Amino acid sequence: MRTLGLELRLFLVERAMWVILALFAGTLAYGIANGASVGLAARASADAAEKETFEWNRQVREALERQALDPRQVAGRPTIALLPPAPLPALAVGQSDLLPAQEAISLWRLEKPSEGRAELENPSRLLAGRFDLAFVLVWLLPLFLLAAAYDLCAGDRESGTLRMVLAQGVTPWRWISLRALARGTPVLILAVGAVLAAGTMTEERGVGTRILLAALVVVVYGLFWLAVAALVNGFARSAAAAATAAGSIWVLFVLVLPTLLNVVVESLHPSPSRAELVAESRAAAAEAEKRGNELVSSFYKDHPELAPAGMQADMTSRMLAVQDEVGRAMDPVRERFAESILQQQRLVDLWRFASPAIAAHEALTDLAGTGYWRHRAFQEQVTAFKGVVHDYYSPKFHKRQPLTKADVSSFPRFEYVEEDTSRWKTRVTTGLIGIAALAALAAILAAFRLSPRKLAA
Amino acid sequence: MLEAQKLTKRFQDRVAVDSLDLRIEPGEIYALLGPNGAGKTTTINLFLGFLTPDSGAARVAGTSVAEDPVAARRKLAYIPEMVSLYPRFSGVENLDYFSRLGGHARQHTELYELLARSGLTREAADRRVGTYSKGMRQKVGIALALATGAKALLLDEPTSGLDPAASHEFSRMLRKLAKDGVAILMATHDLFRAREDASRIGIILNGRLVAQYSRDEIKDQDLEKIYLERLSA
Amino acid sequence: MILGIARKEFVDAWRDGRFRLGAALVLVLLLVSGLLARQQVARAQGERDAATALERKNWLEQGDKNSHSAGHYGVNVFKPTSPLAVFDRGIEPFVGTSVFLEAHRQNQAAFLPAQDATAMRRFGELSAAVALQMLVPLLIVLLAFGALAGERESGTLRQILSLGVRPRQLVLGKALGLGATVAVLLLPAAGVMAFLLARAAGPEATGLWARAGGLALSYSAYLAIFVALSVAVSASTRTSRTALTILLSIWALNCIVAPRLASDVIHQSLPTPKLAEFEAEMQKGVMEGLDGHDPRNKRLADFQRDTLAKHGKTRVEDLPFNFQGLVMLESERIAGEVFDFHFGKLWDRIQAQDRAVALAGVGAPMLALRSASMAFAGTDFAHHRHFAVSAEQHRREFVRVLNEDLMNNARPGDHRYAAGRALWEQLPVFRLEPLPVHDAWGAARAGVLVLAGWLLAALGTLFFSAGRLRVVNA
Repeated sequence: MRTLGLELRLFLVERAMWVILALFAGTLAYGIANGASVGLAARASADAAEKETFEWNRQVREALERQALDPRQVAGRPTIALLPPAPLPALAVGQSDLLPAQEAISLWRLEKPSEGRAELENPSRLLAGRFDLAFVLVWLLPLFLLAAAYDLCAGDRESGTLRMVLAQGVTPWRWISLRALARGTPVLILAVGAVLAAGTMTEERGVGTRILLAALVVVVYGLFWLAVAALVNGFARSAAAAATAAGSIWVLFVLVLPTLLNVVVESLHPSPSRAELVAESRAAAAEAEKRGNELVSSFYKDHPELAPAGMQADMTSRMLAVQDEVGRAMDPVRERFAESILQQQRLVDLWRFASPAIAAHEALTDLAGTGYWRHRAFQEQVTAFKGVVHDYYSPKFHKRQPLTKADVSSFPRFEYVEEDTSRWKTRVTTGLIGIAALAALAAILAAFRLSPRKLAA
Repeated sequence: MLEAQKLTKRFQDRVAVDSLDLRIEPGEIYALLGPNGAGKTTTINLFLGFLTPDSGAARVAGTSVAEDPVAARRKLAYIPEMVSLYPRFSGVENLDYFSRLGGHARQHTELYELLARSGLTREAADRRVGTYSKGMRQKVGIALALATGAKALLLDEPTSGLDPAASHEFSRMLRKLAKDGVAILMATHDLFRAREDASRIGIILNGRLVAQYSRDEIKDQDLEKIYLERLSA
Repeated sequence: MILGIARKEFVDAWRDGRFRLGAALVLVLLLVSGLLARQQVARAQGERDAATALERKNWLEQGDKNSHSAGHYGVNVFKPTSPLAVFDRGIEPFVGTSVFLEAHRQNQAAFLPAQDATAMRRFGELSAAVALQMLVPLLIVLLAFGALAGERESGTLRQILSLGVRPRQLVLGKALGLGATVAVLLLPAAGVMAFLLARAAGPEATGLWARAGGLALSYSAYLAIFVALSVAVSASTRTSRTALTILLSIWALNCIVAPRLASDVIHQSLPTPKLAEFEAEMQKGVMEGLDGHDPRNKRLADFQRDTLAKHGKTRVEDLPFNFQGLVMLESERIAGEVFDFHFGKLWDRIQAQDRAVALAGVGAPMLALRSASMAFAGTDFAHHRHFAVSAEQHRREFVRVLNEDLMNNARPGDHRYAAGRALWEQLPVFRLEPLPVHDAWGAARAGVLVLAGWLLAALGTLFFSAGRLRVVNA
């Protein structure tokens, strides 16, 4: 412990280290501020959508107080399905700038490919990504850690002091790991502080576990990079060689492997073709349209309880019958589409341990609630909700039942149900264990390499 | 050939070379003796133009180093304590490169011959320099001096760290160069070699030349005794 | 002399096992990414061709219906991929791939490929462009940081200068040698690119070569900037360790920090409008006129009065054509003005943001290069806008033909009028004319100018760094 304190003091008397810490604190603060502003914007747009929905519901309720309504007057208006703002938006912007948090659901467009209401955004900005806290933690934290700790003993080896130190009977592994910890600790303290600060910027309650896990991910991820620094010092014969090797490893893990995985995933499980899905669903619609009347009569044969008096189909019931037919034709296609995207993500989940940067980024966005899975859950619930809307209105149209005051309480309402806590916890802990395992592996290799015999050679 | 007039160089408040007057003629081997930090290397740096003097002048064959360092350097050769070469190149490739830089491109056979004259076998000349001993590096340095046909030679502790045999061979080469009319300035604290090789010996202390002896003057005397007396004076 | 130094530098680099390893890795990444990108771009194009064919079939076989209903039925058009997207996919994954063309509405391009991919996309694309923008500069830094500082440390600098070499010759020779090393390293990749281009013959071929020329120039300038700066820093620092620290920091700032920082800062000061506000304003424009004092109802009423007056009639039923069809034409025209205004404003804003990022390249050359590269590759916003504008022109033409048919062929009040396949076939398939090379250069101009400025500055720094070259650290 005293050695640790001593190493820490040694580290902190260097002016360059204060520059590193100040720069890191600055980037962290900017990252938090940036992510927080995205969170605020999401909150504002959610509020606007909620207000719009509330206002519309009020109008319908008031109208129904006065008289019964033809369901067409209500069903035509889209209901907004809303993904509530993420629990920890300041931690990571994640996919929230790309994937829609709102879907307008209208009875007449249930089978149209959903376009989603994502905010207007400059595509170059989506390409560049945001300068959010997750960026600072996943991309820049390792750079700052390596800047502070790349030269644990390589410089001493270059100048010859290492042999003198070893002659004192020091255990190099212990000495160097203490050095690495002493240099990494101030940087990691800032990083954890930033995670805690981001955690306070939410209106959500009960996010303690998320914050704690995020801090843990950051610390373990940081330890991985310190272990890399130690490992590099086991090989490098000069400070410059150590810096070169550390930088190359960073490029490998943070730049090359993720993009490589991206390409491999795309090649093994190509993204399904949206273009063809669009065209196919139009073909299905055209086909169903042609058989419109036939469809309605067969529908009434199957559902005599819904058939209106005289079995006369009007425009509306015909449209609904056609739409149902399109749904029947397209459901398997859409399922295949969703399935192949899921296949991609499963592959990513499996291979994220190829680079701790991927695992850390997935874990942080998952904890922030801006990652793939929460948006996917939203999409699934939107699909289910389309069914609810359909099942609610369809009988009313066919039977030409008016809407009455009594229906107000049973109106289809979209309420996003957060994913079961255990599921994201499992994903995040798996990621955490994976990063920890990689850190341990790097540390063991470093310990093996940092034997006095190998160092003095 | 090599001439210093009231040559002075200060580093902050320390005087490294203090109005040094020196004149080395062709064929002479001048040994500059002095302890660490006496100003030997600074003197050599001033002759090379790597430092600019605060006052006074250094000249190589009449060319002022301060006024035209490149022209002055063209007339001399320099062999440091450790001749630095490119480890991924062989001895002959290094010699080829450096002599081209010195403005004397030569045929490969000539280069091998120069290396042979300096004591390097053809087999050794083709090996990468990364494997060379210190003595072999010095030989490439000598060959380079031969290749550029330098009129003056600056040596900075050339024999320190050489084993006696290599050191002896190096001296032999030096004397041969001097016989061919090269003026040689050798900064050293190797008393034995200075006494053996030098035609003149200067003792430098805190940047000042405190004494000069010709070969004849020290012939029958104990150089070590004189040197230590001078240092403690 | 300079050539001799350059030659030695070149040979020395290639004898360095670590450099050969790094070079091999970069080359493999370049080729792998190129081949995979080629495969992906070809697949995307194939899918879009198939979808286009299916949509054409849907359109032709829609059956007999009122020509205005056919306008509502509409048609989807798909964005063709740029052949040079193989090199730099640019914003392609983040812009819509298809536009639904229908009566009354100008739709935005929908379905971003990135929305149908995993979150890994956000780590960036492995493309030849990215390898050249980020990995090759890193290789240059690692190769060059010791160029002079390292020679000082090993003592060879003293020897070289003792031979009467001028510092300027040495510095320029080093830069030249390193530049040649990088050029030779990239030669195979450039060869593969040229081969692929040569096979992509056809009417676009000349344009492609001009674009490829722009790419080659921009990337050469960018890499030359890195070579010059690296050698200059190495000449000016006391130790190679300091040189390495400075150069790695420059690299990280340029390649990692700058893109996100510039984009976030610029969007703060030049914000993109909110979707809800944008749509509300456009709706308002359609209903109340662009100036807000010209309600649509009034305009259409005036239009009816003027039309009747022009034909000397008092009732629309007496007009020699279907007045409803004419009204559709007129209201499309009115709406078109509003769409042009609002979409124009939105797109101008996005392009202003992009230009600002390119100009921010004054601080980090990669921003300028990225902008120029995407423009030449045909994967920047200017090209996307060209697609959106062309699709909208196609929509207007298509809706005009349908409405004119209604106007001329449907008798007034005849709700059962139906046009058929003969009319559907008159409407051509959407074909995107490639943006002229001249316009691609225009889009790249800001980036190219900033790069040119950087190159001059870097060469100047290199030139003057020779004066700062010290043999002895004093």
